[in-house]
Amino acid sequence: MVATRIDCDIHPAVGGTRTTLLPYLDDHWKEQVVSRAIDGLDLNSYPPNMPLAGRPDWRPANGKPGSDLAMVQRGAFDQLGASHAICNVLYGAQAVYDPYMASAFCRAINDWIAAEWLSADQRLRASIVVPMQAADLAVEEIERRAGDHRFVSILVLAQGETLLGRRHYWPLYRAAEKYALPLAIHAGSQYRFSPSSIGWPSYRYEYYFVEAQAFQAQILSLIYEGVFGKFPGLKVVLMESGVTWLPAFMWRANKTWRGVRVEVPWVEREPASIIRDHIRLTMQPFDGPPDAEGVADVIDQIGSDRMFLFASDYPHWQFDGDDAIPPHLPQSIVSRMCVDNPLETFPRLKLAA
Amino acid sequence: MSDVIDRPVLEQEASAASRLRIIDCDIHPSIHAFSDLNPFLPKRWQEHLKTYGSHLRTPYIGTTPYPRSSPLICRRDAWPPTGGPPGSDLAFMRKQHLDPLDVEFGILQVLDLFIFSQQNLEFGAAIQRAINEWQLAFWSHRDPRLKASILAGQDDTALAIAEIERCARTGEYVQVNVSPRANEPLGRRRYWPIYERAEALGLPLGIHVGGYGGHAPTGGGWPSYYCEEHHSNAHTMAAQLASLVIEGILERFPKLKIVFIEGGFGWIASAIWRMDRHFERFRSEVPH
Repeated sequence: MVATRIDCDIHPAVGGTRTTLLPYLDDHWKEQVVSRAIDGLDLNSYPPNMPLAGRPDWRPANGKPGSDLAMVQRGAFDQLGASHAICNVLYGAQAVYDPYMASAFCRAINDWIAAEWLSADQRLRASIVVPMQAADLAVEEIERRAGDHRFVSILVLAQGETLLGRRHYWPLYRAAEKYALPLAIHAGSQYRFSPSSIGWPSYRYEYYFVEAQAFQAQILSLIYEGVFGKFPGLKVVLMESGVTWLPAFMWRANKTWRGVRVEVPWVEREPASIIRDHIRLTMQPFDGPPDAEGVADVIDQIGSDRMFLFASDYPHWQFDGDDAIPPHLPQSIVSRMCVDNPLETFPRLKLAA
Repeated sequence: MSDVIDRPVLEQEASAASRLRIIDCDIHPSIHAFSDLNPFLPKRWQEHLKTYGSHLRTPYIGTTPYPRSSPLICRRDAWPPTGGPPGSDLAFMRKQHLDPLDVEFGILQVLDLFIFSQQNLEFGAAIQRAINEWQLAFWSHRDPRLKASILAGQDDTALAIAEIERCARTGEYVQVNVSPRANEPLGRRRYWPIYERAEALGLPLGIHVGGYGGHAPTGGGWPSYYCEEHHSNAHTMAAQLASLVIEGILERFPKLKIVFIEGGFGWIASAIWRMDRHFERFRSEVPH
């Protein structure tokens, strides 16, 4: 089917570990999950009943927003006009402490999404959910899915146990580059650290605001640890990160690099240049200024029309109505972000499923 | 016509009908050595400083967690020829900075981990008091252009308020400084009595970047490099802004002015847009 609009970020929901995932667990974990009543692993970042977690018209009568395939199809495809959509499953499997449990649950999520979503609708693709608790087990999961072209990216949370540029993650990026899988960093936390240097916020509103900083920290980590030098084919996608913080961030990163680059001699060009080549962003939420001129300024300051990816963030409530495209975007950006940029960023989209 | 800007141009400025006034809101004076504080530090704490020393939430005794790219993070030409660290010599500060720029007022921001980040809160309060007195004795009283700030570490609110009131009575301090990185975000309820006092006394609240409050600089963990970590200074300011706004500090203490110092500026626009954009979605969480 010809791609006319690729939604790079939708969220099918796991109903529960003991329900949705149970059929996909091996005998050991089936027994553990049932006898120890292991469940309730919804990520603290997204309590299902909080307004952001589901727009009212996207909430099924029973179950969590995003848990009903038919409803998701109606929303993402019929209502919002996508021709294809990439499923990014956010669930606590990514946050558990036991690396073997993490591996088993991530595997179950990927098996479930393949069997009950990707096989049910050829327009759907998915990110591989990986256990970052153990890099070698994460690589195993990537290898396991590499031959299934419906998996088009690797999903990690914005706030994990160590910053993503660190050496122990490099085997993942080797695999990612080899299989043309971009690294998708999505909003969400393993709650190992407070979301910023100042400590734990009282409100989810604060937490959500400050999460944009985690993405920035991840970009700096990937750049300064030399990941893009080592893996020049690697692309990184920021999902649900906000977009308009990017220009000021690029300026400051450039300025700091010029002053302190003696510390990181392997970073041979300015961060903004590396960002334009390797980093992509989904467009919901955009966090734009209220006026068209302001939006045009931000786009101009970012200095690249290849970085933007159409996304609805369905069923998260980022906008009202049927138009997932942020207001006031220049037309040149809109044309690129719906098809060209996603195809370029997720090369496996072009492969036969 | 000569390419060189000659002396006469500056002389013209001196006789001009108006001139640009400069108030420098961020000047960093420094002690020569801990012993400079002895006149202001009770014997008990002098001993403590010499023996147990600083107890911070960082790995090293003698340096910051991330080594800086220049010694003491200072411009290399700022080391006084008579000795001592940059910022420790008033005569040199006048010669290099205050006089050539014709600074009308300079607001002192005394930095250093050992002031705000002490885990022993009583010791920290004693250090803050000593520094507050030192600011007057060594700086403001010797050069009236230089105005002192009340350092009041917020993690012991009672001690902080006592120090704010003590200093405010002198009438010689122009702001209250709190730590940018303490146990909890600045908007948290436990710190509200400090804002209540500052507002009542008509003193702005100054927040200067720096410090290690014990939380990782980022939500994803610890950076490896100073080049990377330095960005978190701006993040700290934006996060504190969000805390102060979302906890309702600006509404609860409407006369309080808040100053972010050395936190960068470019991040402000997108921070406001992001906070505004998501307000409706989280409004029911923050009815205040």
